[in-house]
Amino acid sequence: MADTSNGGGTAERHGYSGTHHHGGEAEEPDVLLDVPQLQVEEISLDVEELRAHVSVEADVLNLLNLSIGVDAQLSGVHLEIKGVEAQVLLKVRLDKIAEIIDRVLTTIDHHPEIVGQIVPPLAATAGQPGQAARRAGTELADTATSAVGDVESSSAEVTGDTSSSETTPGDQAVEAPEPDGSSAEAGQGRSRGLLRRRKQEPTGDDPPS
Amino acid sequence: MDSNPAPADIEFAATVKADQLRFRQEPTVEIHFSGTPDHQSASSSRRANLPDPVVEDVDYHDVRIDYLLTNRIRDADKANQP
Repeated sequence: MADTSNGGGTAERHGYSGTHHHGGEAEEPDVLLDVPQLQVEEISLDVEELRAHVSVEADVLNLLNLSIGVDAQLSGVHLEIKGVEAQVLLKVRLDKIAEIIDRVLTTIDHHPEIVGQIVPPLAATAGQPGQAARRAGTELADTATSAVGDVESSSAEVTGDTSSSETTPGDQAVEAPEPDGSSAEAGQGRSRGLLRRRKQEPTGDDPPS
Repeated sequence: MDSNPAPADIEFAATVKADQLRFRQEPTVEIHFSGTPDHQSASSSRRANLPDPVVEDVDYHDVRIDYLLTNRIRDADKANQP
């Protein structure tokens, strides 16, 4: 039987069953894909390109970046096979990654000053959402102002109240509420106007514009 | 002898047996291992009644292929310890 291997002399021999006998439940895989027995009478396979990728990644802020992966690519597979028996076993273990992360967290616990090294990046990152929020707030205010203006104009048209047309949308957006509650009334007026318009639309009595 | 008794972080094993196998075209297979900060990978295969490389349009009988690959993160801290 021909035998090939690579990996700097670290090729392993486990009878190709994929089963390790190191003992202990702690070494059981966290991800397991087990096809113990697959039997197919005949397969005619045509695959131009097949890619399989398995990887694990773990990050702890910007202190730790761990990854491990395997990428397999097959191309130009055109074969016919009869009387097939196959076994497939995939195992992924996270114990070592968990152990490394635990060591990092323990180190931080014993030396919290380490966290100081990552504060500037965090502060910079935190600043970005703040600026974005301020921009979004400004844009939202502009949009709201414009929308209020549209609604106000519609309300004026429906109710026939021409006094609103003398006020620009921008003025209304910055206008302070009157002590007598005129802003609330304006709001109610807008609601009434919209309500009336909704009621008017289904009737179809309006002359075409 | 296995110099690293710890089980691999990623391990894939497959065995395929066939009464008859014919390749209409020689396939291309590429395996890439990755790992950060470093990794230790290995792959091995055993073939019975199947040459490497295969020849197109030839019938191979009683074929068996065993394949195993492993990849593990190299823990630099532990590797530097005596």
